[in-house]
Amino acid sequence: MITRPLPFEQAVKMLERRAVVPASQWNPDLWRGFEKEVNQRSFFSANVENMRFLNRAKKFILDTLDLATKEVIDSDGKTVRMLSGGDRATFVRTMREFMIQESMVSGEEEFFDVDQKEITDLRSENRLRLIYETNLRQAYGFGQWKQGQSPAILKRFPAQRFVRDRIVRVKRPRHALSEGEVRLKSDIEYWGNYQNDPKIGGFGVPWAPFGFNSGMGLQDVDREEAIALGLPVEEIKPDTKRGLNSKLGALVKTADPDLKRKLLLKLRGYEAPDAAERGRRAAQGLQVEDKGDTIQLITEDEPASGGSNFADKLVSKKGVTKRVEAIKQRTLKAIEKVHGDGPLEQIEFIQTRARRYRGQYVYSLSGEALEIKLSGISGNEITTAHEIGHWVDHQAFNTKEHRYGRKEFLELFGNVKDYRFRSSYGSYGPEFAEFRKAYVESEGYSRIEQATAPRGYKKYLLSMHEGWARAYSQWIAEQSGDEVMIAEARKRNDKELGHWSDEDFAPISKAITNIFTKRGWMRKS
Amino acid sequence: MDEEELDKAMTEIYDDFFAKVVDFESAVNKLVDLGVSEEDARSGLASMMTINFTIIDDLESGTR
Repeated sequence: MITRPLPFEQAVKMLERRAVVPASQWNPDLWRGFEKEVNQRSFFSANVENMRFLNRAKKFILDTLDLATKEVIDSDGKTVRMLSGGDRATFVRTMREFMIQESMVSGEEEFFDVDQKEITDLRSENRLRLIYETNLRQAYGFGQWKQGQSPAILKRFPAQRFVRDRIVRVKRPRHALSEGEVRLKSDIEYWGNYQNDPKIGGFGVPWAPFGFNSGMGLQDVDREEAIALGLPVEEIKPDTKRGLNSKLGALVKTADPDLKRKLLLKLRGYEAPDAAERGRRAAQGLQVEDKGDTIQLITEDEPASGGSNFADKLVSKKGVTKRVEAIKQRTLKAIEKVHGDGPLEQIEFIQTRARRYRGQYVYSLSGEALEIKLSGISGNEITTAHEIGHWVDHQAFNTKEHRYGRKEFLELFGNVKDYRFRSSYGSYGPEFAEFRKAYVESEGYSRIEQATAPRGYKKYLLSMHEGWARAYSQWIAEQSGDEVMIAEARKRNDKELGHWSDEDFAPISKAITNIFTKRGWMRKS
Repeated sequence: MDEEELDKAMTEIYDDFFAKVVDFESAVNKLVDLGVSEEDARSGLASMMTINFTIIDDLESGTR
């Protein structure tokens, strides 16, 4: 079983030892800057491979158990299903054959050294090597491509030829037909989307290898030859966006839903007892997106599909100090790790000197969002997220298309004075029904109800849009793993009303995640 | 003081705090004088600062 990513240095040594590339072509300096990406890739692959094996094993075990069990009558006279003594050996043998078949072991002799009591030992050395060899071939291909993108080399060698590096047993027909073809290095459509097409087992990137067990490689073509072939060499520009982990994803179409969920949690680092720890681990984990049939690694050149970014939509006005700007930026960074924004328009960000309120979200009577104000004295990241929560609630989840009728609204929320305004907030619409249920059933809600405070103020504090804004800020803290925000949300839960303990918050957190997931705006759904 | 009167008195103190008539500590003291525990007075008042009143602003009429 693969339990840890291969350290970078070890990976490099292994690559050299296994002579995947000639030592003369290996440029270790190039790789110094890619340690993080190599480690991320290793971690991703190891966990995906684990899940794939477990997926096959689970199905296999269920199928085999049906054959290797028999019904017996126990001492209470009940019919139970048990592993039959005679079939137990068959089961173990079949399981081992399965592991050999799955390349989990090199052969039956490998089982001789196994500690028979150690059930977690799956003897996966060979498979581990295979995975890393494939990954390192890709890493080498990327390195070669990256070197070829330097302006000087690109000018001298603007094109490349599709050549066969090694003989393979079965050639891909598309590759066999294209041997010797020359294209510009910038022709991503040809190299990445056609020759390395995932439909023929490719990886969707413009560098080698061009699929599992592919023998195809690339050879530089100089400027003179490229011009003679009629290629538009003057148009070529270096590609600085693509990274080693471009298009890195895992096909999980046939995966058991439970194993898929566990894989997502593992990749995101969500294996921890409390929200703060989960957050910390998530922040260190990979940014992956669940796209249904695939789990896709989010990279700079492959951003999440979860809506657009909105960092540039909150525009600071004159007078915002460096400290307050840093608060705003930290909050936006945390939010962008978690979700995109959908249809938000640009609004202003203003710093105030208010002592009695920490922040405000301001909008016009016509329903237009105007500004977010943050107190330079009492505002912080949680306050900023709280106000952005109002903005998102009011503008991104505005209930123009799905809202309750007036009668139904008043039945649900009582005869509120500002019906017109409240009914335009998403938090009062049908999309937020699960959130509202979790909110009113939380202990945090009951604490406000029971507090000794003026009824009018309490009523406002209990309102759906205020509850949403507080919950949203705590959710961003938890999901982004931002330690400053987590600490502030905890402090508010300890000293004030309106926030939640980790346990109390869990159903609310789930409901918010569902809302963003349904809109397709989650970065980490 | 019955429940209605207590609510009215607490509301006035909260209103005074947000209208900048009294500061936080004075408001807490006044609430304690009404019989509210100090913990409730502090947590209640501080929580209302998180309300971050959603202001409805009409640019045309200039009202707020």
